[in-house]
Amino acid sequence: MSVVKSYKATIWVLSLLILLIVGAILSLNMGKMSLNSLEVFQVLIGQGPEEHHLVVYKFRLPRIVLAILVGFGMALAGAVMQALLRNDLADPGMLGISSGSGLMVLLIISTIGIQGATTAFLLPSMAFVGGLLAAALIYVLAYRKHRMISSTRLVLTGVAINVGLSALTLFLTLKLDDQKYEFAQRWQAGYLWGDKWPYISLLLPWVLLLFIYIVANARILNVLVLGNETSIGLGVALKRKFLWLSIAAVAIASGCVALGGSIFFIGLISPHVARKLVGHDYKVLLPASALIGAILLLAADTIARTVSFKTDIPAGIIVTMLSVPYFLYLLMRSK
Amino acid sequence: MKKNRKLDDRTTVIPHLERKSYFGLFLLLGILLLLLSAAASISFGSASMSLTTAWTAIFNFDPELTEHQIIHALRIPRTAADIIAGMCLAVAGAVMQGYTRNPLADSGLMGVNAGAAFAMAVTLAFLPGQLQTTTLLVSFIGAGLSAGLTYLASSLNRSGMTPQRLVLAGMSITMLFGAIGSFISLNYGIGYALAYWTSGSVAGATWMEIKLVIPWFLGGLALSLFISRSITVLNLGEEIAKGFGQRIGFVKMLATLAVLLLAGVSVALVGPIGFVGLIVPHIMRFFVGVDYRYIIPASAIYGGVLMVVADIAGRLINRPAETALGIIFAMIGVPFFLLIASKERRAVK
Repeated sequence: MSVVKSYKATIWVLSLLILLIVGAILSLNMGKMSLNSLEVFQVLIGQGPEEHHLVVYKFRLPRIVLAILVGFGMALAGAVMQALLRNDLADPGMLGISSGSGLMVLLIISTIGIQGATTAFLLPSMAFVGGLLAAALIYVLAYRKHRMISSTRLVLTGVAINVGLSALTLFLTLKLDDQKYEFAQRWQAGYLWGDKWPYISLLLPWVLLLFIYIVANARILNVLVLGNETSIGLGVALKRKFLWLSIAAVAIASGCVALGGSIFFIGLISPHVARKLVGHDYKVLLPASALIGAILLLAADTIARTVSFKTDIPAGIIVTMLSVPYFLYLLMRSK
Repeated sequence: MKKNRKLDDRTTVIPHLERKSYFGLFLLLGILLLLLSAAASISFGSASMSLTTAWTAIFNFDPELTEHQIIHALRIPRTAADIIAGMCLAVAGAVMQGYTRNPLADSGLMGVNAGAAFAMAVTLAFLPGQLQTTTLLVSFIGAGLSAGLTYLASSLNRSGMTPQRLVLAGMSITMLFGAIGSFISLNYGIGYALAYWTSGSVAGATWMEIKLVIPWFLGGLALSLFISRSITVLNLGEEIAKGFGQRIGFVKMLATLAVLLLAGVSVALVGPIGFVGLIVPHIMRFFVGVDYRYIIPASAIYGGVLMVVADIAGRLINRPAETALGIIFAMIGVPFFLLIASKERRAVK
């Protein structure tokens, strides 16, 4: 029985991977400037005119890679958080990453501005630091010596810190001018703005290394879901593992948020979808939900890139519009 | 219903005199505080006036005096809006916490805030320059729409509505309306105007608005008081409530309706404001116990007090500029949450 099940789950993961690759190829062929598949292919094998090279390598490919990476990372962080907090509603935003990095971004654009070389470097790095700081603050406040980390306390402290940080954000927001406000709003809605190769070359190893670490600890997550007492009974060094895994999740999410804005809904919804497809074993659940997140964000961003709206619409908005109806459907069907 | 009443008679046979008189005193104190803070709210402001001026403006109105006009046209409707919104939010929060059995429930969970913000975005984008009364109606309709959808999505299930499902549905509806709202606001460049509305303000309240919302407000309040006993039973657990012969589905529907009315009124009147609905019932539970027949009226009175006091604080902190209510409540909310977290009695799910 379980052999059949794991066989089925592996098939699912593989087909998701194929779907992602096909999606990426399709997405490469789509865009506001029309290039047919032959022209794209010519560029890929090193032929074709200069401007086609520019379109493919400078605009489309980095954006696609970034969408995949951010979706992948967010969904992975969400799956880990849901296991650690033993709460299906958990997402990486719960640990203050979105509000912490959001506040940092606002601080920078209200003091330094949107343009300029310093901002280009400062914005992602400070967003990253902001997310980590907020998460660290929540941990420190929820930490009790000689006692187990309680997920309830963590959630409650997270709510408190989130509220405080978003009030500060609101306070700053009301002082911004129109143009800066719009940038902040875009960022909050999940805007894949860091689509430059230097940024991506930093994010890629980051996400991959943490992915490997987390998947290597999938067994621990499986046990942690069962509850604190059970896990100790099964011999897991709970407190330390909990800490390391949550640091990994926070680190991935902060990295993604720095380049892709707050797209936390992906972290919430992808594990739910993955659970429907492959079941509850984290060994397959983790890669499955990460792949689903990548596919989802890639699809949303392709729509955002190709369809002409009045302004450049953040992919996060489209993710939400696409996935909420499905989520509600899941809710109606659930037992 | 009959069975229910019988049971209730039996429980009230036990003399509760001490408790009742204590509750009466507590309520009386609340009303006193409400009157005091309302008086303070009328006399404080960017132009400070003495209490006697306020008094004569109310009872001896002289249209010739500018001070009287300010009080009549600005301060009194503003204070009334504070009181109404505070009462609405606190009672809606209490009802919500009671019937979902979730101590962290808040009327925002029904998606009302996002729905109202979405409706505001639509109005600002497509019908700019509307009168305040129109925007009031529009945001009320938006709140109703999202709350209705949330209720529908969580109850269209073979096994009926569960608190968990309600929370999930509310969150997704909030996300959806939030996304569409920011889509519109980015496309039409109205983000800033929307953010100002979102930060919560009672400064522009008028008599006209107050008159419009009063019937809905009273209706929601009366409904909440009417079902308070059933909520107490429901709060013991669905199985127990069933055992007592309660029609759970009906009670839940009435409770949802009450929350919708109250939360809709408050969001239409002052914009989306969090925390009042969360904090007040918690504090009331500490003073009057777990019976919702006490919690709901007490929450109403003290919710009004909290809102008026917060509004006064918002006017005084950064004079002559006003601090948004959303920020004031966050300043109260953070330590409050940390307190709950450090106590943490019941698991939150």
